[in-house]
Amino acid sequence: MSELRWHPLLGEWVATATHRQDRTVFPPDGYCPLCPTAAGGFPTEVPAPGYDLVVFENKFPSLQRQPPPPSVAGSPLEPVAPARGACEVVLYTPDHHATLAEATVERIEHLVRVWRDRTRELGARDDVVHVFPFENKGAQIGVTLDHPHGQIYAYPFVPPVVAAEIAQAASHRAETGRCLFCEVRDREVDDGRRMLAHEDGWVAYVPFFARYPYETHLVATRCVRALPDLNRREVRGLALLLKRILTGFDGLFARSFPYVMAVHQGPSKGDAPYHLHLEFYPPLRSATRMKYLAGSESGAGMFINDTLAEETAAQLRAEIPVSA
Amino acid sequence: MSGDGAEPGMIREWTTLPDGRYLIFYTFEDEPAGDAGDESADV
Repeated sequence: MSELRWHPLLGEWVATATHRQDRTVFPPDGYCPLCPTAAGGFPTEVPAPGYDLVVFENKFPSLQRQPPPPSVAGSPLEPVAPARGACEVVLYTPDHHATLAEATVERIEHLVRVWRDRTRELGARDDVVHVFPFENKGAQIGVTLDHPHGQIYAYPFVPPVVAAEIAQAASHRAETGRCLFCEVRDREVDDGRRMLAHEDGWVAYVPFFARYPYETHLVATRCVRALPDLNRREVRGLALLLKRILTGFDGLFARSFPYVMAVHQGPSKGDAPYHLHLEFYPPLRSATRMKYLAGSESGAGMFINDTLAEETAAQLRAEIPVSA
Repeated sequence: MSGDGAEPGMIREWTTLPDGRYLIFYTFEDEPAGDAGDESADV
């Protein structure tokens, strides 16, 4: 069963995807479905003995090209819609034990170009309004496959977080005539206390308003809406910056660092004000303690951060290697 | 299909999995120095 059900209290869609209950969870060694298919070996998702980067449609999608009809009837108050869209898996490398932090800058640059390519192609579909590349890394985030990979969701609507940012940006532009994202970025650069690093076309910082300890934003210095707007120099700069930030994350607690990486870009349809940036939400607040989304965060929507952005930024900055 | 609509230096090879899903192999060639690849100008 897969469908979209409207949440009238919050004004947003909820996807049901009951088939996802059956998805593979931490298969034994030798049976990773994301590894290449070895000659005479277990047939994986990738029918080839090797690959560079691969994208494929998720076997257990929440959104799909040809969704089944909804299993229930909606109502004017609570409409139901087919779960149209796309869910893709992006394999970063055939090396099962690698991580994105360990990848070469060239491989990360290729990944950014794949994101850009998929944004162009999926965003051109009539049924797609917004393209969202992301990565869930680490068992703490709920990952069920260790193989280094990310995902791309193509939504038939603007998802709530991006919609809220657009509303804020539109209001700010109406009041000041300026880009909200540019103002926040410039304030961070001028202040400097929460800055982490910069590369050609990009800056990284722990934002003043960080909700998670070690929350990190990578923001384009040019006011571009989406990945397809990046030029070659900016793609390279983002890869260089990602490599440094991810290396810094792993150095922080001397362990492979879990995170959610969210690529926030403007919708593929329309011209709503937006500014391309990446956000990282690490679930750790110390080497051994988790930041849980508990009562206030889940029930009321107010985050409580047990750390100060100025202090976590200083810790992270000390672990980030200097620019090559 | 290969290379259809892909940006310079990117090769895409599409295949269809037994259950009808698509899979795309991406490979990359070194771009010559000075190759624009710059769809948008710096401002």
